Amino acid sequence: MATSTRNFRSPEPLAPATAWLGDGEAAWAAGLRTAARARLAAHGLPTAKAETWRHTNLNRLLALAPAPEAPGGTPALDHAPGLLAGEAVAARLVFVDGRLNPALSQLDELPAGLEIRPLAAVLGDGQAPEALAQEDATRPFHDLATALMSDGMVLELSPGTVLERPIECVHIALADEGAKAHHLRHLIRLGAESAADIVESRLTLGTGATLVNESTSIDLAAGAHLSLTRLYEGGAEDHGIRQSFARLDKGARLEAFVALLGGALNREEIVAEVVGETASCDLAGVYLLAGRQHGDVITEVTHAVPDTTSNQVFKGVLDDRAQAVFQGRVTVAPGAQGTDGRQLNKTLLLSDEAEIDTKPELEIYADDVKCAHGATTGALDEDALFYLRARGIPLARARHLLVEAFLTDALEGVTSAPLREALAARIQAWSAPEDAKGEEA
Amino acid sequence: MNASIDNADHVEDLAGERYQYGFVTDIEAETAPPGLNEDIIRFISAKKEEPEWLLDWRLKAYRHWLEMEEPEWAKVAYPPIDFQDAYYYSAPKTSADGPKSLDEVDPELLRTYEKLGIPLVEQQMLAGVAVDAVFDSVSVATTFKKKLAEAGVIFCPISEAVRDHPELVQKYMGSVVPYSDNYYATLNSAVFTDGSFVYVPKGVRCPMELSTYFRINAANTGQFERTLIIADEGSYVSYLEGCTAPMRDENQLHAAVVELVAHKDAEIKYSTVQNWYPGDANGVGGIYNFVTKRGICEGDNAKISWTQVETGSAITWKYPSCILKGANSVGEFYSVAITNNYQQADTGTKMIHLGPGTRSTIISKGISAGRGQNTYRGLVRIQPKAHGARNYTQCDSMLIGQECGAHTVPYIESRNHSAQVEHEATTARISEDQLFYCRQRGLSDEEAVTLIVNGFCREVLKELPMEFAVEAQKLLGITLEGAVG
Repeated sequence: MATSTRNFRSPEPLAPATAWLGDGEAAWAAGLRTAARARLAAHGLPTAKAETWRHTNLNRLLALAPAPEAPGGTPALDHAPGLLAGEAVAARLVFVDGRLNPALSQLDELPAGLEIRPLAAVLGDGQAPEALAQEDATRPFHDLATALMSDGMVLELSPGTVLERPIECVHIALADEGAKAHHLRHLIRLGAESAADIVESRLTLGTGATLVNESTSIDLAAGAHLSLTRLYEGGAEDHGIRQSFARLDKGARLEAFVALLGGALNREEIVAEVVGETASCDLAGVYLLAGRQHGDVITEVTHAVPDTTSNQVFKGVLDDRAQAVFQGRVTVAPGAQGTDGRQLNKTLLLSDEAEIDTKPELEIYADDVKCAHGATTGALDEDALFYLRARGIPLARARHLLVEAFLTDALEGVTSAPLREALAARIQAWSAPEDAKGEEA
Repeated sequence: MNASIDNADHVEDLAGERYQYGFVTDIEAETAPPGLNEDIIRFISAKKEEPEWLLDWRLKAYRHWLEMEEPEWAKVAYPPIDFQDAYYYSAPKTSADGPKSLDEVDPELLRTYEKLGIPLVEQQMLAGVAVDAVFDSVSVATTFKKKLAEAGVIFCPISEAVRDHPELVQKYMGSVVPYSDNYYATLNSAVFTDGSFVYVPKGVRCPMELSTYFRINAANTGQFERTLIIADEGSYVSYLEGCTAPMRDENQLHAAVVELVAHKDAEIKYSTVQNWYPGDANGVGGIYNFVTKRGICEGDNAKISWTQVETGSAITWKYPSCILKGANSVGEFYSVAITNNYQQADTGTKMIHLGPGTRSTIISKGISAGRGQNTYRGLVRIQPKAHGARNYTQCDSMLIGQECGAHTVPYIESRNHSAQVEHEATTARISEDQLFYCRQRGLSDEEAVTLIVNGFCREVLKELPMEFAVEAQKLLGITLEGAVG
């Protein structure tokens, strides 16, 4: 099925034969890879006909055809500039070009109750982790990740363990030549009444083209609490595609914050199944894009049982010819009475050529629910700009102030103060005009 | 008038009503054989004595339709339609020249209209409404023609317009909804049998509200109207469309096309009360209402306003849209959609902002009861040249009962930074407090629900012309019968 028709797009450019994959792995791992590859061949990569891809152009990525690399020597790298660099952490994982770099990571002296293993090691186990077999026919990039996974984080927190320090996960792509692809699968499992903060960031060193495709499975047992913060920065040829599948049991809490600050194509897809009563799912984020960058935020929250809540706040600022897509869906299943679901998406357009496509969607099958969503798009308030300029503040600086104010409440979702400051600094660096950068440095 | 209280008074009268317009008029119809092929299209065209260009257009549409796929994206479910099992032409039998006056009209037909309450005879002057009644695809009586003619307004069946004003029809038909637009619009382009044509000349304010009652009658006859309204520079017209249909067990397909063209400074107000047979309480039967409605604000400062109250049909698939091309043109969409029992509605609007300073307002109220599924699906698109465009959208859903569904799917696409787009949506049910308050004051559950629902829909109902507002309020009550308790 290599033919390309209107409804089918061959996965071949992104899924070349990789004979070296699977060396030293268990038979079940090879089975997972083969099955994922077969599904991918049957369904193909998403076309513009796929609802969540209708505004997202994959042509550039397919033309680059980034391919996975056979394992080589350990790349020379002496530091890992993550969001929490220098801070005390419970554990630090540094992936370089899709593989865990033990020298840069900090995995010894893990707190009691926390177990972290690289996926590459797990693939040699006698038995497959259940979550690794998770399928989703509507997300071909998930199958792509399974078929070509090189490594990942397999994290397990035992019941009742509450981590005091965050876990940092950094992914660095060295992009000097050619187009490289890195596919990872992460498994996060929190036992009952446990709690963890995970901070993920990713960056590229060099100017070559990359694709980092990650799938994360998150399982939160009753009363577990996961705070997940993600920062993505990228250059003009960086492509990042991530899908996360979360399952929330009774009373579990998921708080996720995502910052997209660049990249040719940066896509964050979060699927949350709230299957336990009184569980809550808070998703928030910002997307700040300029040049010809493209950002996608796709969320799907399903309230399957009564008395659960979800809240989503995504804010974006688009400059130059940047394009962003927000598609958020809240589904309330039949019988899920007492659901409280909220969704807000606001976008500022700073240029005439920027584009936002937003679709906040509600799908409700129960009557005793409170659901609301809102979406706005527009320019900076002319009156507010005038007010600031009338008080002697230059235009560029006035714009910067207003952009910062616009983003402030989205950042409130980040509970850890040092983390919030680190994020605020990145955001400030993004939005500060050239003339203001000097004085603030 | 306090509409809500007035309505509550009506509830008792309505309590016994099920579908009060469910009856079949036995009139000899001249019907083409069932099925769809080029011969049927030629038959329709010949029956209508159409010019060559129109037949060619129909055939072009038909050939295109054969290559199209039935759309599946709407949140509605129904068994596949057998397009070869329907009748595409059925005209009430009339004398060769058509009726000269009302006396010549089949009395059976007139009685039908009376039951429907169409102000055709005595009520003509009282209601001040000109009626172009469409009965099974062919218009049989047109009133107030003279008064309209004095103002220079053309209001006639579209087949008559093809004959008498071919230059206008040829110029505008398909200009807003091209023959290749979508599956059902293309089907309509191939087989449309009638509909209304309105032309309001420059600077004329149409002296009365124009009204057409569509009515599906003969069994198995899909009805394919095509309505074309043109408001020339600086003119104004208000058009009312109301629908009822007889009770029937088999699903009937209705695929109409409505095209509106508003030139510079012109305004078109299009109001619909749709009350087709929704199927029985078990979801058997009912009309499939797959309609394409679109208007274009061609000139500067033009305005198109859609108001709809959708209470009937088993399935409603309808997105009255505005293309805001002229600078500072205005588009409005006010909608109430109610689904009860097994009804499904997927409805909304598209506002395409092309010109600078264009503005649009969308107010949508969806009410789901029983096992009804109600979806608002809308698009607001701001194109790069629409500087300073403005949109405000509000979609509210109300759920009555545990087995219904309410869905909101708004698409917002903005390509101009000076445009401001706002969307908000809420979902809620009738609160116990509200019901308790009403009951305490002596209202029954049903009265209370009707009262609350009417309040919920007020913003939309107030946009309806007077004649329709009253009927619409009654309909809300009837549609929600048995939804509580």
